[in-house]
Amino acid sequence: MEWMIKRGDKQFRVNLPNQIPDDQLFELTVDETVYQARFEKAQNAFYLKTPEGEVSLNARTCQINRFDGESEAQIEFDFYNPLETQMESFHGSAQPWVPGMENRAAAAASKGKTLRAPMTGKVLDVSIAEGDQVESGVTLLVIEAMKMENKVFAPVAGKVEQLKVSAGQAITVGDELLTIKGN
Amino acid sequence: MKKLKKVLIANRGEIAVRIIRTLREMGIQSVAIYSEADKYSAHRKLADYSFMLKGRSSAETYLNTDLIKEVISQSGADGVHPGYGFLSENADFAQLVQDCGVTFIGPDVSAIRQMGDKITARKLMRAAGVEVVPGSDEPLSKWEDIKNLATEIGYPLIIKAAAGGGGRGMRVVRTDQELKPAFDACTREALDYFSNPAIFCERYIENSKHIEFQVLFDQHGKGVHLFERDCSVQRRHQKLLEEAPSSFLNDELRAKLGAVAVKAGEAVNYSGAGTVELICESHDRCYFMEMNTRIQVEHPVTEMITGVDLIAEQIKVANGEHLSFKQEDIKLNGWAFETRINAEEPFKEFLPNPGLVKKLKLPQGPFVRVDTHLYEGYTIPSEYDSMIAKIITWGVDRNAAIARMKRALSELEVEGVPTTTRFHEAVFNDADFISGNFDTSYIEKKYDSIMKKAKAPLGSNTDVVAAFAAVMNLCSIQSNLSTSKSSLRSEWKKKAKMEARGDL
Repeated sequence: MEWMIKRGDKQFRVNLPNQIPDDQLFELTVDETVYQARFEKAQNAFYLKTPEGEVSLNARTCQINRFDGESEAQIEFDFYNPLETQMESFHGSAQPWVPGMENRAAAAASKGKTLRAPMTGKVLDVSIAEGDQVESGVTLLVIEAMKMENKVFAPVAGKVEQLKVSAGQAITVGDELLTIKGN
Repeated sequence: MKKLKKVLIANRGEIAVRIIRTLREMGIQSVAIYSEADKYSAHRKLADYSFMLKGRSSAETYLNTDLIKEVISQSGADGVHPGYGFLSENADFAQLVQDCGVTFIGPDVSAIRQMGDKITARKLMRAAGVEVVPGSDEPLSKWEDIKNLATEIGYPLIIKAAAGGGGRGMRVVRTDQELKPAFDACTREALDYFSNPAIFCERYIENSKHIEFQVLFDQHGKGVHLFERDCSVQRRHQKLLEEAPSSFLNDELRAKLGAVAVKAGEAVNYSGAGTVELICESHDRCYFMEMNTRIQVEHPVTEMITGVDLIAEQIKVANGEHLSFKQEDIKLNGWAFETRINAEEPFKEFLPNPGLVKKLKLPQGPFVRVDTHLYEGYTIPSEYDSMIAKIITWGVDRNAAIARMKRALSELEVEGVPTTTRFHEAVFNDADFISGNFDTSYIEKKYDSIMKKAKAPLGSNTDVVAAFAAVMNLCSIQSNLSTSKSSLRSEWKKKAKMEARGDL
């Protein structure tokens, strides 16, 4: 099955077997290039076969956020990159690749941006109400976590819809807060 | 001489663990206190005895002197170690402990009181011939007073809570317009955080070096310094990483400022371990900023370069013992760094994010020390500080210690919560930091560029990295769902349907 991996402004089309065998050599394709690799689950280690031996890309942490109703998973991980002899971060996303998706994405209409809780904590203050028109960058609400007050700003301008939290409410990462519908 | 046999630690987390370790090495029993939110904390398990304090917030538990007093007497502890933060610099608490007939492991109540009040401390230091930053000599409570002073010393200036510390309750003011809101906010914070609305105001020295000297005094008037720490890498007055010694000082200046630090301690008849913080504008303009009358978060770097266990020394001093070394016996050996690992997202302005630690692998190997209360399966509570570990490395010189820190950080794996590890790696790869070219404005100036660099692909194998991401994503889908084949098909169907609806 094919996957679309986005990282910054770059896109990669990755073809993987439907099941990754643990620590067994398998074939994968990135765009047109074929590689042989292993994935060892216990240590989150990815080994790429090269003539000089298997190169170990050892992921230090991996955070994958996939929310209900969304097919695109946000992926973040750090790993030691032996080819660069230093740590590297991956910040990007993965989703199933569907024929023609690149073209449709550009033409897609904005359905509104759902904001999710960036952290676990307590809602201290909600500065807006449903139906409000907000500018990009204004404070929408304040969340308290670990003795710090953290503001959540509007990522885009638009109309506030489906406000789902109120002051005093406990929230966890990924909870839907509200939707901003673009103008 | 009466020797401590059982010590209660009025603290939590990594510092409680750190203290319990030394107590055990000295054959002293330990008593932990923990809040309901901390029932899974490692310090509870590690201690010989423990007491639960009802409640979750700091105010209900680790700051609740009535409750702690009860526990002290119930436990039969003959000493109390306050750690850092919480009640560590609270003179009333130190008094209360002594009134129970129990030893407070720290300086005399009067020294805490004098140094705790920044205005009194300024006066005392001036009288002792220690240079202080130009500013107010009296507490400011009226708007007119601060307005006049601002006109006198000029901008930028900094307003601080007289009873403050640790970077809280401070405001930098650059213009007339900012003064009033900053004054109001500071007074409010001073009252909220430190139960004392008094504030004072000083000239704000920008682009300065934050150099602090570790001092140690016995109860018999003898004191030494254990060299300096450079804590200039700060974000909003919060220290992020520290090193000892500082490349800013040479041997001559080190000896001179060390003597100033000892003089500052002598002025308040100090006993135990303390830290004299200096703000250095240039090599010949170093002012006294404040004295912290407790053990500091960053004390391990001093331990690494001197071989002195500072917690053990605190206890020996509390026992009434004489210092076992003179100034000339203390040798500076090599270089040490400490990085504070916080449960914060460095790519998102250090957004704190507590939660479950699903996987954990701590750095190991030569000359690496990790002080932490973290373990796999631990849920970091959202009630307290976001610092979850300290990684300390030693090297024969600064470059060796840097290389070792980079290696140690690369071994740290924390899954489930974000950490500041990537930030530290970015700093330790930055040419300015490596060459010692940094001051307290370093983060403000370089945060964006170093984090951007940390996020950028390195280039040699980007398509392989994309494949790695795809593999991890697929494995996470497979581990979340029982039948992988149908789940994959449904993933694809879901995507296809969304595409058809134009819902991308």
